[in-house]
Amino acid sequence: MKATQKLELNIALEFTRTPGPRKRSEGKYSGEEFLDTLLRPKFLSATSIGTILHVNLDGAAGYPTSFLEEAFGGLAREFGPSEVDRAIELTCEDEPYLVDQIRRYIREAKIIK
Amino acid sequence: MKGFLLGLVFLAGVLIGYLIPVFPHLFVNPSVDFGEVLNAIVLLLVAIGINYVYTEQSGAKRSDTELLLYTVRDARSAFDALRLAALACERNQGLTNEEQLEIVVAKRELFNSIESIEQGLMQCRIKSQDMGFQRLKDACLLLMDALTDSPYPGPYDNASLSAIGRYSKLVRNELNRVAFAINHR
Repeated sequence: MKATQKLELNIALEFTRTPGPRKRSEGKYSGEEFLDTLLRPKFLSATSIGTILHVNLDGAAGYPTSFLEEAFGGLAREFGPSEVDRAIELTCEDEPYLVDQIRRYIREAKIIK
Repeated sequence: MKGFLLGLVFLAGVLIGYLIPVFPHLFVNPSVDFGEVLNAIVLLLVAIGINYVYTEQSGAKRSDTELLLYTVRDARSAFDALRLAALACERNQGLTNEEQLEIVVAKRELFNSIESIEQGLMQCRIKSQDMGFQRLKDACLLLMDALTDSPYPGPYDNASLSAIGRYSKLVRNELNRVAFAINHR
């Protein structure tokens, strides 16, 4: 794969259309589950081949704050905000403001922990 | 309005044209100063021009204001729907799947309607920062976090419920403030 190509992750198609709470213990389709089963593995694949992970948030019914913070903030706590901020591209036509929100969760991940 | 004014000027001209022969002593100075007549005509045309420009501009501004207030009303409806969905948080137990869905969908509607107001302001070439628009967005984000960050999906403790109530009030006040700011601009 060329460095200019992106690795794709579509949450609605690959995970669920109804994202749930923060932790697995709180319910189905949690942010924790998303981080463990999809986001972290795809992020590692993308960084290992030096490309960008493009996360498409369109198609879902809506995203709770806790799901997004646990998934993207959790990834930033693990790999560092600057690395995650650089390696992830976000798209959300359904809720455009979410992109800025997720960037904030990534940047402030260290503070939250 | 333009047509009405031109019609009025025409009628006045016709009327004076009829009256001059009947009451010449009232209107006609035997030595007509054409310079004064020309001045009067130019003055009249300037007045018509100013009236036309002012009417056009104020009409466009009034239409813009009405459209912008309509988008604010839309946001207010979305906010009311979110408040209704959020009532489920007041129960001393976790939200059902349906209630969770209702809240995130209502939250999305509110944010998208807020974005519509911002788009409308841009269309009308109004700087959103002049309206303090960021304060409204910040208030919505605080409410969103209070509703769907931990302890979502509940049960919500007293502190969380208090935050939901506080930020709901803040959003309502901000929506009202933006509506007044649009109306008084």
